[in-house]
Amino acid sequence: MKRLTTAVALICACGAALAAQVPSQRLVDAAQEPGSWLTYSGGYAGQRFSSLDQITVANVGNLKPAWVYQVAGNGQVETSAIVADGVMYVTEPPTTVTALDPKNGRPIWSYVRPMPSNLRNIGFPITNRGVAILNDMVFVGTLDSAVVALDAATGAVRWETKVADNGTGHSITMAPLAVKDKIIVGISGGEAGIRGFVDAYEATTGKLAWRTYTVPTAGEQGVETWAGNSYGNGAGATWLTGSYDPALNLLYWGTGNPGPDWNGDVRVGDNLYTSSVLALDADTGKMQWHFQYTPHDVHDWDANQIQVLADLTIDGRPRKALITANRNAFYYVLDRVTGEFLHAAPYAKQTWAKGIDAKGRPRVVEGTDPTPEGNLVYPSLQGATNWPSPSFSPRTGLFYVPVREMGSYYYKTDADYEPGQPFTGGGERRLADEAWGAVRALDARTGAKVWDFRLPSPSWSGVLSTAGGLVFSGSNEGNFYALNATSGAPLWQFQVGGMVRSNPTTFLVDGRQHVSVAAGHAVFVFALP
Amino acid sequence: MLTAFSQFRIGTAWRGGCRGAIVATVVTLLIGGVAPPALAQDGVSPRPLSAADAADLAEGKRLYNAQCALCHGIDGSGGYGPSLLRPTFVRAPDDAGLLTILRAGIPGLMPGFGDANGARRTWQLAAFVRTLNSAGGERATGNPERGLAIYEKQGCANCHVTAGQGRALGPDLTAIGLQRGPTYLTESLVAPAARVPEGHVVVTARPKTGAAVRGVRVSEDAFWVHVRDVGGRLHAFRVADLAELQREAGASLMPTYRTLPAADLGDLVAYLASLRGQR
Repeated sequence: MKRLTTAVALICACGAALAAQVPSQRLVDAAQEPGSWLTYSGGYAGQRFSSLDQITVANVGNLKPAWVYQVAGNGQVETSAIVADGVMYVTEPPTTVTALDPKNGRPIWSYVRPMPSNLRNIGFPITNRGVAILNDMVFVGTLDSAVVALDAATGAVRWETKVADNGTGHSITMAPLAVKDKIIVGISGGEAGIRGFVDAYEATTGKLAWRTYTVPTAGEQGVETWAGNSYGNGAGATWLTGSYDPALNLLYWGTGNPGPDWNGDVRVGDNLYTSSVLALDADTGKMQWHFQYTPHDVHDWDANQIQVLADLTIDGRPRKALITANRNAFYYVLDRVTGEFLHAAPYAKQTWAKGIDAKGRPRVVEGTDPTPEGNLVYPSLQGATNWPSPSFSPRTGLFYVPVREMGSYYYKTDADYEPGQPFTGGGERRLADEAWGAVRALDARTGAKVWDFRLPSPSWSGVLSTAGGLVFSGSNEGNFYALNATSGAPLWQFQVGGMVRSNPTTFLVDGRQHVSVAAGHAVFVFALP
Repeated sequence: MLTAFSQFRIGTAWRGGCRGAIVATVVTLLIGGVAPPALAQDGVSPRPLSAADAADLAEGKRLYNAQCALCHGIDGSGGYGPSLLRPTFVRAPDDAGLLTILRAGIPGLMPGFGDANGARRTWQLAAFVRTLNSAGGERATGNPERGLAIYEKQGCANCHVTAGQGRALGPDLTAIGLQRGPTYLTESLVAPAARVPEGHVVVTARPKTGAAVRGVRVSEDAFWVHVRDVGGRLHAFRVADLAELQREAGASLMPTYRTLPAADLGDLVAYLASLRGQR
């Protein structure tokens, strides 16, 4: 009630300044509006790059905290802040959306969603990674598996649509993506034997416009890649935000592991379309092409990592490329028009593949499957990278990846599907003692390493690059820092006192560049004095 | 009906507080009046978890692999969730506490499984989880009073704190009896380097200029390293000023006590096992 009163007071005081109006064309043109941060990755291309250049290699050493917003409640704070028309929108666990004044960090409104006592979050923490904004609404996916549209000015619920049953392990942690008049949503539950899908909802009404399953069913193409009826609990979750090419009208959405994770005996075959990227028509959801990174994955190497659109010259030919650092430790370059495989190279220690063949299929090393006794394989279950976002700078041509250098003993056990229970068939024992991390700069054309900034442990922080020649990222040990984007040399750091487990964003406040990151149980915003 | 009431009871208890406790009691009484207690549903009386037989533990392990290993590690050594290889669970010190956590979870940290497994299988799962901290059932056989004398004579307090006394180079031992069982404690005395506790990795920091420092790595982030030398002095280094930070894998600053007579070792372990925090 108190927060509501505050909201009303602020609306009266500031008037139209707080009423966001973000028509879809602004999202298409997000790169031309660097003062805002309008989608999860800062634009449809998924680059997490900003052309803001007030904070530079020369002055970043003076960067200071402007304010801190403390988050209440249990769970992990992994939000990526959206900023539009003078308001910042962050999310808090379990599924709370809060509008903040980016000048001073004061809350304007909060939407707090109560959670059922028998909430199912199987295989991931209680968290939420952010909102989407379109017109005068913000959209959030909920941990109990709904999509909610909120009035951007007041936080009032405009509509709410149930996506799937949380009792069977369906859940949403990802930030939705607004495209034209639709809200695109992915689903978590890859450790609960769900059947994954990508959904599109009408932004004005919440009505389901289309649903595309990531695992085929009887009679559909691709079902022959699943032994027996194992496709029924085939997973292929879609738990991170996809990218979009407006010119091609194609969504690029990563899919997760097949189910059960570590016991592949019950699902012999390639298990389409798990651990893949899908190119979907944004109007209909129809699959235009797919590319599977890890056929018959048995290590939980989801392919949900951010897909980045980059225009690159490959082998002397300009290409509309789709680039990604996959959890399986390989960097991939595809043609995003056709899905043609162009190039792959390992970017972190891996022991499971001799290489990638001319069609993009891994040449798997014999004897690297999980076993009942445990089998040591690199990378670990959490992969050579995970959900924290990479960044691509068109200025340097470098792809910056938060890297996890770690191996695991992989175990295989029996797996019986029971609705709403874990369906995993094994697990891991991590080699945590000798593990380390890095922000790694790769040549975006080849995946070759250009530099490393070493971290004491495998990173859970995303990366932001800017036209100021900077790369921002964090560490598990609480460092938030800026690196020289060309050399990797550290230029500035601030100890936030908690694990940095989110993606930085940057924007203007009253014409001055600010940088935000969530860490520990708080949101931090930095600016030059 | 029973299920609905049970869920309500758990949900109320989560929020804690006095009113919740009263409601929970009333509902429990109501259930007790119309149906057998939940634990007796399928003929299992609430036996102590230690009474589990091999078949119970096999079923418990099967459930553990399916439902728990994802977060607690296939061998209980941890992952998303904490390690279960410890003699005492702070949140579940007794059988009832463990069964409650398996049903209700820990808000914000761990999902509960409700009654999805049924009472018998929940009990079997709990019994298996208890075996992971097998140290919990272990009893030290030595004499703790004599062990204290050995602790003092050997000068353990030069590197360890108990109840506020001693120097903090090695781990604080004030509650070590709650954290580690006799087998682990014996191994730590005989072969200290076999399992170096987190936070006690031995490093040598070699600055670009100035003397090298060997000691325990107190903390390390991407920009600073703190090392405590054997004299107890804390040194802070900027990573940028270091030529090298050498991690000595498998090294410990603690000497081995394998030459202690077996009886003395047993008494020392019994003393350590008796340390259960300040009262």
